[in-house]
Amino acid sequence: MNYGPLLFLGVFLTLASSWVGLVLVPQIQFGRLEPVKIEETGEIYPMARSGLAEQGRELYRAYGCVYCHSQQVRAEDFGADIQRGWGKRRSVARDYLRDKPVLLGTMRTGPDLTNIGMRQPSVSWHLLHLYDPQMTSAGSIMPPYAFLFDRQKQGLQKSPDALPLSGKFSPDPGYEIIPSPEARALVAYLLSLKSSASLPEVK
Amino acid sequence: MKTSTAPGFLQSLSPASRPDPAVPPAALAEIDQSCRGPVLFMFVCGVVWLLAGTVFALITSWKMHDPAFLAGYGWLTFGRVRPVHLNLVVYGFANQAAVGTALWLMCRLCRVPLMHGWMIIVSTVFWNIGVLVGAVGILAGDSTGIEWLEFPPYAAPILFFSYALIGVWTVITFRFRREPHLYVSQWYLLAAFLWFPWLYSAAEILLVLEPVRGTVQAAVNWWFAHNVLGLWFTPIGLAAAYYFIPKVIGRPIHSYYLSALGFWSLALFYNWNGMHHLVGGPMPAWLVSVSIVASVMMLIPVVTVAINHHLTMRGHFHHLKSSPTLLFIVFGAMNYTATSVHGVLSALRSVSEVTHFTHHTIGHAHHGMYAFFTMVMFGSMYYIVPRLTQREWPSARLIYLHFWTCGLGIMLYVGALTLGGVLQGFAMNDPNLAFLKVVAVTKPYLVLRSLSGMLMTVGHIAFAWSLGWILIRQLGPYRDPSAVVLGSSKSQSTGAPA
Amino acid sequence: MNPEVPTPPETPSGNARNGVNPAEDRRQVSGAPAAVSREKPEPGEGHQPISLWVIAFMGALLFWGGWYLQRYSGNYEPLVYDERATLKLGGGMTAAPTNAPLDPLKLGRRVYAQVCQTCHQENGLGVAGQYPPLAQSEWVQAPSPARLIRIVLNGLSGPIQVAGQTYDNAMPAWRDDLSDAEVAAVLTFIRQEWGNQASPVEFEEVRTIREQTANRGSRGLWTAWTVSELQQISDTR
Repeated sequence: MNYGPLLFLGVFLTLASSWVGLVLVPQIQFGRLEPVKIEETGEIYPMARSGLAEQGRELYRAYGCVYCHSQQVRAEDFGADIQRGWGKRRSVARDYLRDKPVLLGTMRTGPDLTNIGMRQPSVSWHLLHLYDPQMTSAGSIMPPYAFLFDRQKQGLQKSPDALPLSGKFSPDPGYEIIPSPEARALVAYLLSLKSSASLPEVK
Repeated sequence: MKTSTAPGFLQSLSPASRPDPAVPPAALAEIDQSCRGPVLFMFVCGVVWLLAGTVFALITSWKMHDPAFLAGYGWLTFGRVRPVHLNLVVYGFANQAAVGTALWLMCRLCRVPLMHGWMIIVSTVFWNIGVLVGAVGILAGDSTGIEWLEFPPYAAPILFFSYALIGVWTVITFRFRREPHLYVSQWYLLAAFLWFPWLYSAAEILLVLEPVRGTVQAAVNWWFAHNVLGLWFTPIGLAAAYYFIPKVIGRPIHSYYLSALGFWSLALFYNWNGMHHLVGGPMPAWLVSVSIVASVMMLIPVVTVAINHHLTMRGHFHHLKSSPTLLFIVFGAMNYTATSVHGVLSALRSVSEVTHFTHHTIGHAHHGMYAFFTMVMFGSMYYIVPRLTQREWPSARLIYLHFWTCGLGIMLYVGALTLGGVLQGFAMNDPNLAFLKVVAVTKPYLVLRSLSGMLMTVGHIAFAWSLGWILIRQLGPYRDPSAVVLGSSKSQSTGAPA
Repeated sequence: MNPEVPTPPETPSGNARNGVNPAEDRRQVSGAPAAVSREKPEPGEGHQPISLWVIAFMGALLFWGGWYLQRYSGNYEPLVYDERATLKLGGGMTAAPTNAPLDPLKLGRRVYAQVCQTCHQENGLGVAGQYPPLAQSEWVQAPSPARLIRIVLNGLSGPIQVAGQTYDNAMPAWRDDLSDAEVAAVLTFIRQEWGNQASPVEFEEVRTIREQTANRGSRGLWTAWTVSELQQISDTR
């Protein structure tokens, strides 16, 4: 096989085949899906996130949360995602329509977060967990995100935003830890993660 | 400069035209000398990134079993150092080792000295700037969040411009080749150089500049990421193996027909594999099934190449004792077969149900990128650098230290994470086992991975030391006393010309 | 071996030949440096034919591939996610084989994992000082689930005493996220798990109470119950 142009043609056509099959055809098939209206509640799904939650999403991306957490629930009898309570149904394309970039994730060093907003709706739990995961989940290998919090001198009274830390986690006496706007945005994003609405393509 | 004597179309399909292997050493030496500046520059830059990428690897690995390690700084958080590690070793080291090797192979096989070396040097400068800017960008929080494409959007044009120069150079060199026969390595190299810019630009456009909607992004992401492995690094690794194995042992490749079958089946099937990263995910069933089928079809090129290499080496394994190059290359080629078979199995739905989302995937990725590709690159550099510098490697002991630490290191790495990942997967699929208990299952294997990483670090330092020594040290017992630049009066005085 | 020519040291990047100084020897012949001079010829290709076994292997793989594609591609439909779905006569796709309705206890356990477990824990013991236990809780084991259903639907705030301990936290409303069947199932589950022994909860009871309390707020903003309000509702049958 010594003919350059023939080689070039073959090389071009082979990659073109998968570009068509794995990029172009999916774009045609489900690249123009639209949100749907859920009859029971009248809501549009997927719902647009609040501004604070969108900011939080940018932080999720910038801090690389995707390298330990997935955001995709597998089908009922494939793995144990649904039995673990990670979702009511498997994830489908429509769940990700508003995401730029889509953060499906490929690792479950930590649990799947598709429905964490439903599974753990407590803001204070998330703030404590982010500050030091050992507080809520002893033995976790998630790193602490204490740099998302500010240490400030306590005034006459404890600030209402101060984290309820105790024992070895509490700061030096006279100081308190309050969440920075970044921490609040990230938690707002986590709380927005719910995708259990029944859809036409999957109940 | 002669233009190529292009054969007729039908003639070109016939394998009857063979290369003339009796290329005079003087001609080869002239080609080597022309490559010296650009290729050495690329190798040195690559090794610098290898060391930096190794540091980030150690940090990342340590954080996984000691999460408080270096946790006080936002820019050093796990989610940033991990993509920096990947991008430095892939785009900083692997890319430059690959392109440097490919340039030298292309010149040798086309029997033409490297022309327009300035283009390569400029390209290399820009590439390294791009990698540095990209890595700093990720640490600063500007990662795109897209796996294998994390460099921020402002780094991409630098890299693309750099690559464009290489692409142009490749076409020119190929056009002016003096050897009409195309050896199998040249098919792989040409294909790789044509495929990579298509993949990279499509991914940047469809994911970063004008993102497609929803999970079509995931399809593009994994079409791109898998093809960087399969259509860029794998062909260059195979091109190197196909050159160095027959070259070092002095025998031809077993079968031209197997080479052709291996090449075209790789070209046809490999690029359809990408969706096997999304088994069980929010993609239509057909998309995943198509990739699973293509993944299993990869057994065709993999078995073909394995037979071809093995039957070439059969009866000649004793050469491994005297050639470190061959040692690295054969280690790499064998692991190519192993990692590919492993990958085929992992793509099946029943296996993916257990291994997806676990450390098993990381083990597999390193099996391919390191045990195959990086080891082949080490072997290639061990062969090429003496020919460029006209000096010998100063210490055989350092080379064997490199081989054994990295060889054993990567085997320990892959073994630990494969086993750990499978156990993690079974644990995760048991809904009665709390998640923190699943994490506990993985901890010993994560520690083993750090240990293996330390072994490999020793090997990398040994390699960098050897490279520095051969380049910088002017005097020494291993300097070739007959180092000559051809055409100088010195060479005329030493004896009868060839 | 020529005694006048010193034996060269073993060089790592190639084979030193038997006793002859390779550098001297080859330089004289080729005019090229030693490393290049001792190289074997450039690689070439043999022409062994491809074994029939390889062809047979390829054929078998292609056959398998074709079969797998036609069986597991869901007719190449974009919204078919389950690879086991097959075409039905008259159009449409069958559902996957295991979509049978769940028995209530299984559903209850699953819902518990989905929304309750993170606070009340897998063992139902809660977290001291934060989340009350459900195991051996007098609230859970009350004869009538009337108060329980209200707590799950609209949430609870303010102090509550459970098994002798006081808890003062905020339980969110699950009215928007759980259906009547799911509420009934999860309450049935907690009422007979961890040694609890209480009657199951019927889906009609949940629906009735949901309708009765529909005016306690609006979607996304439900007013939580307090203990004093709940104590006005009977928890005996």
